[in-house]
Amino acid sequence: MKVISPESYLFPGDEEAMEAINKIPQLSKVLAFISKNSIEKFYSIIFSSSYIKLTSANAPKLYHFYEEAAEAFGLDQLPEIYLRRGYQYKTDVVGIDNPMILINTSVLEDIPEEMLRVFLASDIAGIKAGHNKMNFIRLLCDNFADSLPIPKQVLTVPLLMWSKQKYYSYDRARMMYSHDKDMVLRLIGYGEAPPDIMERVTPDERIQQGMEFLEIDGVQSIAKSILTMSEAKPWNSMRVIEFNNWIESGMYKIGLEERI
Amino acid sequence: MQKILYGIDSSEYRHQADIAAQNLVEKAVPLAKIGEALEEFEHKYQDEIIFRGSHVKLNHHNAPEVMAIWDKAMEIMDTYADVEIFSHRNYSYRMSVGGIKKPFISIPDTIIRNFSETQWLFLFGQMLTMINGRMLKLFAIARNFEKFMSLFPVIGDALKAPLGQWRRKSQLTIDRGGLLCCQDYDCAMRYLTILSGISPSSVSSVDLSARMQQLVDAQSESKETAVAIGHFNQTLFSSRSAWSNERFIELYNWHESGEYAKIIRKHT
Repeated sequence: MKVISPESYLFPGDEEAMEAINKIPQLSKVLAFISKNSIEKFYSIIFSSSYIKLTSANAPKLYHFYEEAAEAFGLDQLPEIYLRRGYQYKTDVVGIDNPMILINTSVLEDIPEEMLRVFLASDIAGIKAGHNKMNFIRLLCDNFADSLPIPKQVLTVPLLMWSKQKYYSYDRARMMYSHDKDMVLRLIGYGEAPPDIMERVTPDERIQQGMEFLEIDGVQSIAKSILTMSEAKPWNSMRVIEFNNWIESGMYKIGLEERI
Repeated sequence: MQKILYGIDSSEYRHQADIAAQNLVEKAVPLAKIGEALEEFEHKYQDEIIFRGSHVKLNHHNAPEVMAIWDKAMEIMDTYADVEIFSHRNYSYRMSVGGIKKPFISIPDTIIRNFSETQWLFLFGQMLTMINGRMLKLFAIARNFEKFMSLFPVIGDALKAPLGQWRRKSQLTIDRGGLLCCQDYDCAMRYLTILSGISPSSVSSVDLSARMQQLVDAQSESKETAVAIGHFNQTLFSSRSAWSNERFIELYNWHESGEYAKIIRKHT
């Protein structure tokens, strides 16, 4: 099989943002240079001083999951992987040319193995798609946009919107990797309830809850929009609906056929 | 095994200060309506969006054990509340409830993972007390009034003080409702001990008598003036919740007074 191309899983808004960034001449090189000489050095010291570095020797299974995902998505160089104590099921990726992945301990403690390999694959998919550049641009804007002669929101609002859309891309990437719709749906908002309950929540129940969320209308929808704008992550209900719509549209099958 | 408390009403076990506040609000009908409107507003334009957007809705299919305990709690308290129950990821041991017409209960996943049935009954007893005791509108009034009063330093703080006092006393009512529902004094006291910082897996090893003695000694210990003033200031002006230790002592006193046993006898 061919590698999974970013075009097959990037959400349209995400893809447009990446194309817009990539069209600016030399921007990628400039960002990589600044990142290499600032946050990558900074976080490298923090991570290596405070967290456990995971390698093929001390975490062979986890390392192998990332190796498998890197092969599937066509990522040549595996990032450095670190482990930190954390309750939320999340990973963070920093750096552009030399990315580093930071995994919360709860991810390894609670997510079953067969789901873990799919969960972690989205980190590799994001790196391959160039999300690190956007994350870095967002970091720069959050910290320095006030000093520009334009309202900060001109930059931060679209970046916040992209920040939500990248999760839709992650869900699609996981589907392209696992071909298991039920598993990808269970991974959305995994941890909001304990595993035994999440196992029993059917896809139809998730979609039903998503529809109830979509059906919030009238004046309440204004409040919904305001709350949505202030969040860096999309609502789980929106992720479920977006993902289901993508499957129903047939785009997943087209992406799969192109890969074969 | 818990007994059904036929005909029980929250007015029978409310803390005195809580009763006074409830009566004041219910007599002042416009104030009661404002409270209800504020609570419904926050519920509709914030909580409902967040819960439906990101939390997992529990039902008899995906969470049969949780729903069975909820049904049991309603049966024990001889009441019915039409609620929606949600779970979300949070390292907290407190449930929350919001909304008047159709309340939503939010349960941190750590409770689902760690708590026994009896501990659940305590928490659900608290929720039912808040819902059927018509306390949510008072909380809404208190919360919003405090926000408004924060705009006026000094005089705002002075006006906030009685509200803060009521909020702390109302928690004592809620704890009593929890005890009446679980009908396990040891369990109730250990839950309040969990709130003080010990994990659920370790709380069974706590000597409750020694803890009680520790709290009594701490209360009776003379404090330096600065410390006493700081404690008074924190309690009256800054703390929205009753101190966990205060709740422990108050529930102990209420249980020891015989009021708890009297209510159980009356309704069974």
